Amino acid sequence: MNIWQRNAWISLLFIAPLWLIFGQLPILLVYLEGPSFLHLFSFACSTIVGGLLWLFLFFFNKRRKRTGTTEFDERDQLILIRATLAAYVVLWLYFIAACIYAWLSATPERSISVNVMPMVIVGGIVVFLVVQSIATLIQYGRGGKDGEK
Amino acid sequence: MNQTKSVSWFYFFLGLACFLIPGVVAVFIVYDKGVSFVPVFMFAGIVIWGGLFWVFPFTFGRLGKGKKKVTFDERDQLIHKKSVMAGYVVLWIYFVAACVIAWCIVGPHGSISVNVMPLTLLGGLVIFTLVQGLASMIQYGREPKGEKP
Repeated sequence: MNIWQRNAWISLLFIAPLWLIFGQLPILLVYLEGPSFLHLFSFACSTIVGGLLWLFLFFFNKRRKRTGTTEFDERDQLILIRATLAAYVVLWLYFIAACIYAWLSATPERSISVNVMPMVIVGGIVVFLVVQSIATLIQYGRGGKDGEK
Repeated sequence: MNQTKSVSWFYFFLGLACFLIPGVVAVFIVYDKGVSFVPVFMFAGIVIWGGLFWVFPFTFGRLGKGKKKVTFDERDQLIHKKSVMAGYVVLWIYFVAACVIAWCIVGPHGSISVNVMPLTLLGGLVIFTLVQGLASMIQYGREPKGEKP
């Protein structure tokens, strides 16, 4: 199992469930204490970073390439790109499903709580992480890269 | 101008109108006459088709590989992948921004019309299409690849 497979397992088993639980925390805080700059800013930053975490790999890889200590070769890069695109496809379908579900199940006044929107965003991060991790694991297969055991 | 570039121009203008206008019409029908199968199905079809339209060049590229004249080579594929990813990055930031802005305007105890969600999704589709088209054009640059004007 190489480092990227291990990362995918960690993301699938720990990071996604943690996001599901703690990602709702800023929403609850805003609901209980009212909107403050700190809460909204922390929510915006955490969701942007959570959704775009995969981008950091490319930046770190470029820096490591210069020092010659890269463990992230072209194959890993291709796998990451494919997994990310697969995750984005499912994320898009998730947003459509959430939207149509809200449309169908809205109250007679045809309005929903505004907190549904951040909840959908946090759910989107979890869906994205789960699909990206599963797609990464499927692409690496059972063995590690280059016949590693 | 190669085929991919002309497709990106086509997608930029015509595609936008093809997805945006019927989508807004579907939302308006639901707003005016209530939820029914046809507008919801129409909306779902448009956003699924519009959001996943970028998958088709890969499918057509594979189908056309057996032919002598390759119109969608590895470079086009890489450019297309990068522009799709750029589109998704901006789309994600747009969703987070839309969510935080709605939260700020309405307040945590307020409610929003259920039609805001499909309209946000349509806005996301427009932004994704714009960014994808722009990123393709920027990557191709002014000069066509290896072709004489």
